[in-house]
Amino acid sequence: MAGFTEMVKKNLRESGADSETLELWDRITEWFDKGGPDAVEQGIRKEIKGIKSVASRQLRETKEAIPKKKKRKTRR
Amino acid sequence: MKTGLVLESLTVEGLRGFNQPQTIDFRGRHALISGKMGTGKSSTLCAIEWGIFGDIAYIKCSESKTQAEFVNANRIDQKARVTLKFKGNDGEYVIQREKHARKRDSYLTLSTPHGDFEGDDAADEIFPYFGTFDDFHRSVFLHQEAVRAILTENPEERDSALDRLFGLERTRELMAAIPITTVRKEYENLESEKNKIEERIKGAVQQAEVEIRKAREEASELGLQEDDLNLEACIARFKQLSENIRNAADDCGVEKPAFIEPVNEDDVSRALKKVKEVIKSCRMQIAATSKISELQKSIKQIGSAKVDLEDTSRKLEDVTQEYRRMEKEWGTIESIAEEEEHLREEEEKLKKERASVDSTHRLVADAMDVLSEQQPGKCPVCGARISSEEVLSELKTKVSVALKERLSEIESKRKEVRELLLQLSDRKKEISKAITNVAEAQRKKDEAAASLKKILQSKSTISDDLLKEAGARLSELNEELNKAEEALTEKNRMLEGIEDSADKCRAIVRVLDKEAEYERIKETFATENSQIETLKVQITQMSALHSRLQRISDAITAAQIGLAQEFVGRGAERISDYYGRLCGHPYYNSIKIDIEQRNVKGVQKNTYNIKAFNSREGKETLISTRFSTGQMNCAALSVFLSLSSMLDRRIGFMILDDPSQSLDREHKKFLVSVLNDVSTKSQVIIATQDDELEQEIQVHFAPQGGYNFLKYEGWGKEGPVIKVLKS
Repeated sequence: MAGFTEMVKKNLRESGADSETLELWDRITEWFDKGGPDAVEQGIRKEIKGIKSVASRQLRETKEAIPKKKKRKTRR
Repeated sequence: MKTGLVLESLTVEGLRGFNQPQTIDFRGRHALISGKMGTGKSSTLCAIEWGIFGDIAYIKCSESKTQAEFVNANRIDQKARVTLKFKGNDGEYVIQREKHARKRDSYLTLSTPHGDFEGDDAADEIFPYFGTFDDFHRSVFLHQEAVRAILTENPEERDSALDRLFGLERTRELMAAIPITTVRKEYENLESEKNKIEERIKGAVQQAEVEIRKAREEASELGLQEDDLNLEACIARFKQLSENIRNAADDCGVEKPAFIEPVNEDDVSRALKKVKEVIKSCRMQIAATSKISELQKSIKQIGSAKVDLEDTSRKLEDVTQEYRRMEKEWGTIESIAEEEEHLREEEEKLKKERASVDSTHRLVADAMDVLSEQQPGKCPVCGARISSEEVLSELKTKVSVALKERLSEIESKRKEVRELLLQLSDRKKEISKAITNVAEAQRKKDEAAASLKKILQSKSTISDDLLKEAGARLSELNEELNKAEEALTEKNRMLEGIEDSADKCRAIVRVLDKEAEYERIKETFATENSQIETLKVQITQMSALHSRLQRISDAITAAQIGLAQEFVGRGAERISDYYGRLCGHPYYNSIKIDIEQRNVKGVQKNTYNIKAFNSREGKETLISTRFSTGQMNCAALSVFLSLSSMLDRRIGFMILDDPSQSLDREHKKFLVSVLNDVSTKSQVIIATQDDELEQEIQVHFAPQGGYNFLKYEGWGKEGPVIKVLKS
């Protein structure tokens, strides 16, 4: 697996991946070594959650600031 | 040079045809197991896989969950037991498996140079050596049923199996664990949400603009100018309005409202609500204190009573006139009664006369009968001589006719009298009815007069006086009503004026409110825009994460392909060599494994296509679709033998069960040639019922160190009868 990890890293470097991508790959391999596929999925989901929680809060606040459409009263 | 575990010995008891324990001593050497069909060769080989995995491929005991059929039926303890001894570079490995016929699970023990294990621990320890059950059959144990399966089975299963063989299973797991699709969906969701919000903000601003325009149009319709649409003008207008409403309240007898000095739109708005309530109270008060309804009620009552009296008077006059006309025409009811009496007497007389004439007529008729029948010569009364014919003729012509005429006259008169009597009776009835009508009309008129008198509270009882009095009262009341209505109209006009002013104030407030809301929205979104900018940054981060994962995924894919290609590349020459020697296809002279990528639910996976090709013309074909069964077996054997001997694994033996299926003698010779090659790296155990292959092996199979030749000759009580011919 170690050879494979290095091979992937080499591929990434050759394809011009930035340092953050290489760091992410390092984290993925670390998660994989420690806890297998589940740990990798969990780690990435955590990163998604980190971004999403900020984004969700922004979305919620913005939604609340928009005035709600007034409902027309209909006479019966 | 053999590496990995080689089979030293196999001890079987109670499994399938084996009853008592039998040990086959391989001593790490190659082995040829030969015998006719059904002599126990496959049972021996199956004992090896059952011993390692607790299962036998291609034998399904679906009827029995306990797989009791694996256990020999004559076995007293109902137990099957297999002991496998392997020799490794570091010492001896002993696997023992035992199973009771009534139990579903078997019991496994493993003894190694590093320690002893049992149950699941033993299975975990075995895995690194033998892999999965499927892997074992793809690389170690080629079942007689499975020779072609490597070419024809489900591509997904084959891909997965080959990945495992190439050591790419972990990389597959790693690839599958990276949730690129989820990240992409999250990114798309955020982007979509952001777009929606931007649209909503835009919509909210447009809505506010529309509402301002609408409010201004409404104000314009009320006659307000641009200069009026400000807070100062609104407050000034309201001050005038508040003064007016206070006066109106006073005028209507409602408590005067108090207003605080308005300083903003909200104050004006609140005060306008109060104005509305005061106007409502004024209207209620006006309605409560107004005499209009009372006057209208009195007018209606008197008018109705007056009309009633007039009607009844007219009716009385009409019926009285009718009665008088009858009296004048027919006389009084008494005179009619007298006339009636007189006619009755006359009728009585006529009745009597008729009776008399009738009896005379009957007497004459009797006399005529006598005369006509007896024809007497003398008168029966006086005795005078008579001529009966003459008398009869006389009676007929004179007396009888005269009597008939008289009777007719009497009847005619009686009829006349009776008609007159009927006429008089009708007149009497009509006069009586007219009298009743007059009395009824008089009663009604009296009642109407009494009612009007009561309403007017008059002392007079005379109808005409009452009618005059009613007319005068009605005039007075109508005059009074007009005055009251004029007063009410005046008050209403005043209140409507106030309402108009209030509407104008309200319209100004609405314009000011809408303008303020518009400003607020613009101000809010100036702040919110910065939030959306932040949101965009987050979306960019999510997008970046997706791109990085995608890049990593691509790199993993490239590495996977690289590894697989490297492995296949290493073996390509050998595969083609084995294929060329084994198959000898006239056109497709070589074989290769193509590696491609395919996307399975967002995960890139290697997919392997085993193809034959013509190296000179560069044409290729899928083996499974074009080759004959024998050719396909040759191709499958070349792939199996080459990959199996190449694998960097920890098993040093391979098992071939009836590998010469569908091969002719020449190809069997080629197979032995390849086996010679393979035997340099692996311990080869071959089972066959094919005499030709057996002969070819005996003649041409010459591995270093020789091989065991076990001849299966049939069955005994203890199990298969095995004769060791060469050891």
